[in-house]
Amino acid sequence: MLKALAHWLGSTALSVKLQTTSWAIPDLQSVHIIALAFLMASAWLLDLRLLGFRPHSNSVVATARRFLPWTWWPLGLLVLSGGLLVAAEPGELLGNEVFLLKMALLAVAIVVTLVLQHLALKTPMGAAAATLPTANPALKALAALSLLLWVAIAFAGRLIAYVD
Amino acid sequence: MFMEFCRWLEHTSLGVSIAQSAWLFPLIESVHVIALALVVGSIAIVDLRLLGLASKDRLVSQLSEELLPFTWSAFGVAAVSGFLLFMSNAVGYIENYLFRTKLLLLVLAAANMGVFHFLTYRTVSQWDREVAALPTGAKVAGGLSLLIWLSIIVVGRWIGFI
Repeated sequence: MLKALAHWLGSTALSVKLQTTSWAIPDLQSVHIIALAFLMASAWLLDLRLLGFRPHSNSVVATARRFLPWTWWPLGLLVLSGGLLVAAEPGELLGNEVFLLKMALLAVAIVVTLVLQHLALKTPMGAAAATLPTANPALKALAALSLLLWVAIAFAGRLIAYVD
Repeated sequence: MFMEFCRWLEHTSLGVSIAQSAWLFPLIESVHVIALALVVGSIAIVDLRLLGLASKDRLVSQLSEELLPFTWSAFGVAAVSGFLLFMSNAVGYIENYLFRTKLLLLVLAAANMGVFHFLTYRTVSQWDREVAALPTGAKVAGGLSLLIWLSIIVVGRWIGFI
């Protein structure tokens, strides 16, 4: 099925154009890494705040409100640039096990972020709760998971180039 | 003399191991990308505040003081991993004009940070809170920093393709 998809994708005009443009891959990868920088720093700063490793001059809710948009819009840019990178090398990527693992990890990371967002935004706003150094245990577990997932996804992304 | 040093570096047992191992280079490269992402992402937060575009409700001084340990830790990891990658093929990298461009951009980023810290930032108490009070010097420093760091990512990625 993936083979058929790769074959069809490879025959589209966009894919042919990308495959024959020499600078397409390095430039798309650059955009991909810049978007990753925004996502990674925002996700980590929120996760570390929830885990109690960051200054808690700002409440959990305020930190979540501040950083979550900077997690979601770079993710959109990552999916877009990533999609174009797939179109530039459909056969290589859709048949690559590390790429498929990365997509599975990404799906988990999106679900984890959605649940984390839901829990973080309804953290009690009372004076004491707002400035607590750490979040509730479930939120802390999700934060640790999110931290590790983004690292694993970035690792997988770089390793795609090294496996067949 | 510097070339001698590079030649020596890539012939050290560590340099040779990284060059010959099938998995060491990709592993270190992944660490480098993650660390650099955290460096650039956290610097961008301060830059966008200096430009008056984000974190507008935060004090410039508090924002930068809270982020600095994070940025510097990530920078340490990026520098060490970058140096290890460099060791695997020191002469080749020095001869690559994009690698030299990346080093020059790092120097420019440091110079920009130095000018901002030692000149503009001295009056931070006057423009710490209000976005409207941001001096031109702060906006220029923020804009330049963002531009330089994003260029470092682009040039860094292109090094692997030349």
